[in-house]
Amino acid sequence: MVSSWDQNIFKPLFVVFLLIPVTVLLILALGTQWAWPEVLPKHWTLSNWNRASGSEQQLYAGFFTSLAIASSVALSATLFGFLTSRSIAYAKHGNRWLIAAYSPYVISPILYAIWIHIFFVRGNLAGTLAGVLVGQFLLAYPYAVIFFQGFWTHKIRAYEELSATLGSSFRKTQLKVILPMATGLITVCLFQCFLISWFEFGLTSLIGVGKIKTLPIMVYTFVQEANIHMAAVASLMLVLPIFAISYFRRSWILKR
Amino acid sequence: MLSVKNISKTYSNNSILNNIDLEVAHRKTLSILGKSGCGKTTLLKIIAGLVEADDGSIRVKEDDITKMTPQKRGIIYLFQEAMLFPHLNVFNNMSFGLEIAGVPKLEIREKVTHFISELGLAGLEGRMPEELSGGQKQRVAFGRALILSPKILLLDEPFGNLDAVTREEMQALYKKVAREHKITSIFVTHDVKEALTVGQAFAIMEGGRLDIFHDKKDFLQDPRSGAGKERSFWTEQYSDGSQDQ
Repeated sequence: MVSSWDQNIFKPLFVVFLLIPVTVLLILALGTQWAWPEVLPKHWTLSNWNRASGSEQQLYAGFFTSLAIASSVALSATLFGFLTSRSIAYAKHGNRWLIAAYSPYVISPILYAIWIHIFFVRGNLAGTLAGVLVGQFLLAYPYAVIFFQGFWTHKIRAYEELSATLGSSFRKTQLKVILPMATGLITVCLFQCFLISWFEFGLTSLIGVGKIKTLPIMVYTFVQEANIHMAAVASLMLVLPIFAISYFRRSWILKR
Repeated sequence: MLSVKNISKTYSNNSILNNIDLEVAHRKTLSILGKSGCGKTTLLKIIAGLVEADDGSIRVKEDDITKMTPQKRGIIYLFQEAMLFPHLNVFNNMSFGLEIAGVPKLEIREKVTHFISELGLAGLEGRMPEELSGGQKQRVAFGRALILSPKILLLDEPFGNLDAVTREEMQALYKKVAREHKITSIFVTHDVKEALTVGQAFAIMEGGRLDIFHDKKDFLQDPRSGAGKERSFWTEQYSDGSQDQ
């Protein structure tokens, strides 16, 4: 049991740990001339944000590229992961397939990326948006398969059987019975797959070969250039939408 | 009405069902008594088309339905749990099969309203499954099946999870509904009293074999039915009680 003392200490600590990096990023993104030992920058300005849309930085373009990739990956990985996990759960030797699903994580994503890179080069997918999409899908899809394994219990199978004897086809059973029952899990999986893709760096960098500029790639580039103000703006564009989605997701779950 | 011939099923070299033969007459309920793991559920699932038999045939009236999909058999399988769809309220659970069949909305409303009233569920139409008692859930499950006028109803220990009082109420309700709706059914249970209450024909299942009793007396006299033990128990209790007084 969690005591009130624990709650009084750890809740504020958690908020502080979460807010400190965001606050520092905000200061760096909105301030200029922040020299030691000043506690805060001398000037506050939106110029960094205005520069973000300039032809040199193209941060907004990067934001929308990331958004498009992450949304596509989340949707496709969740859909195919849901269907595949069902097949694996009901298969006679399902565990063998499940072990295969763990492989990208067991052998480390970067080693996995190096391993699959050759196929992307040969398939003319390296340096293309389609290549990055496929690469990230190959990371998020096994995750979704593993994620949904717990859903396909004997009880879910019994619901499918009952629905069939009530006259429902496989498609209608999935649409009218199983999907509504899995809505909560599907939402969580969509969010998690979105996160996997949104923050993905190693595989995107390797397959995108610098041509596909997603937000994490841009953050890394700005950090390498020691452009801390633009790095801060890019980082905020990376984390603030996630905070917003988390907040709305929580409200939605509580509402349900 | 329902005729099952030579049904066999083996899982990983374990024989679950061994040349099962049975017949259920029109509008009658066959009670099958059996312990857990005797193959009752597998037999019902084969009849419903949910599990494929290794051998044998199933006929309803004159039609061979052995290879037919569950959707087309007109046989509804009811589980031990009510298995109400958790995202649908009472009304929508009951109307599920009718909606799937494409029945017009007005007709659905009329039928569901009728069954809700008949099964003593008036006023609960809008309730979600988690807001119902065990007995109410089973009533909704019954309604959801009966509303489709199935050719055969298969009941797999449907009252197994209910308390004694609710169980008796549900048995009485089942008898009434089965009579009024002219239901042909197989009712699986491990309770001899329940088997006797709901059935007109009786069978005992053990080790993948099924023995049918055309006469109630034969069924009661078979030691596997447990009726003799039950009688001895109550006789003993009554004689103890009268001695105490």
